[in-house]
Amino acid sequence: MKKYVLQRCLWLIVVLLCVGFLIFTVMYFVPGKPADVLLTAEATAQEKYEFNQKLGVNDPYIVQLGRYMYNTFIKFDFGTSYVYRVPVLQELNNRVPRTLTLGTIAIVINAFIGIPLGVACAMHQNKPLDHLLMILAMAGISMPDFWLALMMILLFSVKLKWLPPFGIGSWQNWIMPVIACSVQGVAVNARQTRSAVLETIRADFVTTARAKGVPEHDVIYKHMLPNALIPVINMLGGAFGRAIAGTVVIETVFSFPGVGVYMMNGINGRDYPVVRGCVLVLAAFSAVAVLIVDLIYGFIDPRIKAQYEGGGAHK
Amino acid sequence: MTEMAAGAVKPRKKESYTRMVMKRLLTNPTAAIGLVILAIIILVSVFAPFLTKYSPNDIDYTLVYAAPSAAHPFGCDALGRDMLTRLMYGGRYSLTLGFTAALVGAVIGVSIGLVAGYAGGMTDMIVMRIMDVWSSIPGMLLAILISTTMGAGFGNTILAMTVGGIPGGVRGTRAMCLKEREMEYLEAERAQNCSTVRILFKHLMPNVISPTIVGTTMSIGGTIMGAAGLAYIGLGIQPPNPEWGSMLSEGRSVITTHPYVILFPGLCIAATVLCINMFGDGLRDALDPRLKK
Amino acid sequence: MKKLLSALISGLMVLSLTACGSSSSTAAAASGAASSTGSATAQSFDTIIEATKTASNIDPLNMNQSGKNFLWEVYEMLFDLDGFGGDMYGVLADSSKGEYKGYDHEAGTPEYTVYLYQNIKDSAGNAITASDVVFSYNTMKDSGYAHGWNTLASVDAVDDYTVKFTFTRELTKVGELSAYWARCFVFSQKAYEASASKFASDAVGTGPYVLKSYTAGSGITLEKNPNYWQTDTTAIHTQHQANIENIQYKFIDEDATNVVGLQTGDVDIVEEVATKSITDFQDGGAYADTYDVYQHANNLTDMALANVSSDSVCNDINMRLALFYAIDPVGVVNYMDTNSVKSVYALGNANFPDYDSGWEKEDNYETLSSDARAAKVKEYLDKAGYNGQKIKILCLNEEHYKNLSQVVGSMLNAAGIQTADVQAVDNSTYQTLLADSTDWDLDVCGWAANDFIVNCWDHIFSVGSTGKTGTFIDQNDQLITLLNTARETATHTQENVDAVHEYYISQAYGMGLCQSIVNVVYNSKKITKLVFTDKSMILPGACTYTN
Repeated sequence: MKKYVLQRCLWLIVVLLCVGFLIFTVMYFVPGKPADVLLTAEATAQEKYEFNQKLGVNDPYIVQLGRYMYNTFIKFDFGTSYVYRVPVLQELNNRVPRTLTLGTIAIVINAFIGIPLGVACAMHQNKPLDHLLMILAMAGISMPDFWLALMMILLFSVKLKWLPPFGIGSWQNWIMPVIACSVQGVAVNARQTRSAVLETIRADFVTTARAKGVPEHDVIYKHMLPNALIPVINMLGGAFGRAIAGTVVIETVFSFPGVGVYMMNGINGRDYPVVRGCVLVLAAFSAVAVLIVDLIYGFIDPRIKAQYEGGGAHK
Repeated sequence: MTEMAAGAVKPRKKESYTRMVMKRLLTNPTAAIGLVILAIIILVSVFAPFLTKYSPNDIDYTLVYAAPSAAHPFGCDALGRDMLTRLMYGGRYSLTLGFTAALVGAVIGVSIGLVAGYAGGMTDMIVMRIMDVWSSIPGMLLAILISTTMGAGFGNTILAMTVGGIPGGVRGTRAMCLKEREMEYLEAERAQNCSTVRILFKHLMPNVISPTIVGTTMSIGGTIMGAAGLAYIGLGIQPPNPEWGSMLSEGRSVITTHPYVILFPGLCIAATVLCINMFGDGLRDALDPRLKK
Repeated sequence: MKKLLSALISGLMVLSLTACGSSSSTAAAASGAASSTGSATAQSFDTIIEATKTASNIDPLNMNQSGKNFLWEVYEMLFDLDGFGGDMYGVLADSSKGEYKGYDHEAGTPEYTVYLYQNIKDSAGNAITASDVVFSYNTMKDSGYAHGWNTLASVDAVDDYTVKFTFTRELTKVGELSAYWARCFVFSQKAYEASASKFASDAVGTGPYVLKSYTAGSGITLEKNPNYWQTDTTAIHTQHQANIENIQYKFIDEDATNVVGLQTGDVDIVEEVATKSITDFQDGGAYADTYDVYQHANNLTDMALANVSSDSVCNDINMRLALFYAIDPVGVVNYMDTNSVKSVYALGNANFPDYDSGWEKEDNYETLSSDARAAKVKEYLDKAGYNGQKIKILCLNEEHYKNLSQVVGSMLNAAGIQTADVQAVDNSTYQTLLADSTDWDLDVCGWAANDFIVNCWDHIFSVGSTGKTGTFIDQNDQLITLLNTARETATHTQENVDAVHEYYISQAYGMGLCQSIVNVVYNSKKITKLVFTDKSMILPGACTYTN
């Protein structure tokens, strides 16, 4: 097992190198350069060229790539934003915790509401409760999140005046963004859990456990749920990565200065260091989340753990 | 059920797999309703020219933001165009986008996932690391980058949404494969010298496909909403083409004064995605080989 | 199981309910912010809150970015302009010295000498001398953010309080001097070099307000400068008053959130509210007792410019005329809502002093009545030999321009001219596509100037390093010659301005579409009079208040 973990960590580094290369290349090919955004519309082509020259974005591909890889992976310097004029790492230091908190709370809510909901539905499959809750869940998935966000602001801020409509001053500011982010997740979680539980509940080992006289409660929570949760955990791992990416639109609607808008503005402003830095940080989080998820698989399911230890290939 | 004549033992007619699936599907109320409403939405989009006398691009300044009325049941948008008509025509874009991107992404993703999950070892490692790299770049970001680089427009938007969805399908399928591959029935097939392709697609796939089906149906909905999101930030399909997402975007500035402009496109998206999900759920139930009524 | 579930849900509901009950004006890190809920009495308030677009940094060198309104309260320039098209007056320059109220200039030479006040101090206590002015200008020039500074040769300190500007030629065109003297903030070299972020996230200026806090992405808080250097109150211009203790700028990018902010009382001033959202704040509206709407016409004119290069169908003047006759300005105004926009009849509007209302009575594609247009379109389409080529319309990815482009497109279609899908793209892609003559035929955009219409035309048609203008007009074209004549102060006569107008109309280089009406919604219980900069931005410190 230790060897497997070590292997995965080494692969992590390779993955990050590849991500860095990939995002650099993609941004290189996006049309337009920083000067287009930072200088006024009246600037001449010559002025723009000189401005870009100072930033170093006129250099050939290899030169820029070399400079970027060296700075990022050896000096750990993510550069300074062309637009914000603040080092990317410093700004991320402020923004990542915000988005992370938002994402984590949302996921925790997803898990604590979604999973029990899914289990309940599966237990009462095809009864009215199941249908009702599933339809509600699906309604949750179907609503565009920005629409929900705007509706919530209208209701809770304007009509009822309970919550502040934007900004990040106090903890009340966080309530609506968290709800807006988690509604979809709860619904997805509930459906996946229900689906997974339904699969497992008819498995042989469950029948065996019941036949052995194990109390129903234990059947569900000790035997069935861990197996059913595998696809759910997989999905939560992916959701964590996505949550860190932040939802740009929710952040825009709530004037929430998180990583999502930072990256979006970076793309629009051709602010290469920002986009590269954000993507690398997100990739790192994502990859670590995936690694943890895979390790949890191994922990829960001994068959998978055996595969990890056996090197994986079957014969 | 065939009747049994007194004294005779008639063999029970074997139901074909497809028939059984169809029967299960149609007897499930949520799935049936979802399918019916979805079919209506699709038909309305396809036959839009016959169902409405307006053109989606007919601007009329006397009708700017007109409230819903008999002549214009869903009201009019910022340039006086009939919302109902635009929603109908818009369905073509949104539905085509959603289905194409999700299905192509799923097919590619499942295939890769089956191979990776079944082969294991180095193949699995490499494929999963490539997927790691791929999915490290958030789907929306990837879509935004592709749209920005290659320009907006219908084809590029489909490409952008497809690319973002592949890692999900791969990972989900491969996870299920990891569970299944040690199962006895596969050992049996291997013992019979079944070709790998046959094992993968005839025997392994039906057993691992259920979460993928649920995943794919939800991703159709997700793709439609992703396309709406792209249009919301100004990429995706260009004006004056009607597309539900860009209609949502146009309505966001008048949400306090004319809420119906954002309400109806939002409802359309929600209804479509809801129906797809309801149907997908029913399909999952119907396809589960272990599910017995 | 069920019990657990219901307990969980009810727990969450209770949690969210306890969140309410506190006052709604808790947003943003602030200090001493008196309650600014909409229904609060106006007597004892010391803070005014304005919503702006998000500022990406607080750097005074790039003053054209959004959200930088606060710069005009914290920093000062050598001279300032008394509102749009107003006179130049000395701020850091001592108007009592020099022949021209702050500066000396010998006609025929490219040298200008500016005299500073001798007691200028910034908020950190550093004395501002001529060397600081030199440093500020050189830093500005090196940053590349200054536009049109290609005539500046050098800035030198003659002595501690005298600065000499040497240009490459005498600045005889209108507005050229103020482009240097009223477009560069002056700051202390010592403070700049001591700042770790080089003023990107902190600010030290000489103005009537001091930066108290800046939260990136969220907002800026200013407080009154207790040691403002200008102690001679008669010398302080209206625009540099400090009539309120604290000013807060909150960053809001979403239009709907702006409106919500006004309705909940979290925001006192919003400078650009869409016309369709102001009914609640006007007389008879739900919030009319607390808010008022001040409307003024934007200097920006929306227009459609033609690509005259050989790569476009618009190379042929008949095609251009056909296009512009097909677009009906009256119709455009109707579509964009007569309460939101006004008609224009040129590539500029009546805000400018050198606009000639006689242009509205001429007979051309700007003024022709709607019913007579179809015949003209047909005439020119035939002359151009149009055979179905699709016109490519390019615009910025903003709702206003997207709507304009769609209206233009529909009008062209109605006249029988085919159009491709509108390309509505982000700023950077827009600039890239604009520079490529094969990518577009019609550019729907907006141009402005802050003083004269000839400068607006200069912005549109100025020649780039390719030897051609942004719309690919050759630099030797007569338009450029006429324009340069009209821009010289000595020959800046109505006659010459008219000549430029007549020429570009005859060549159908572009067509003015409409002019937006800007709605400023402000808390009338607190503010009695609004004061603007020459760029039509509000100066909250300079407004008059009820307390």
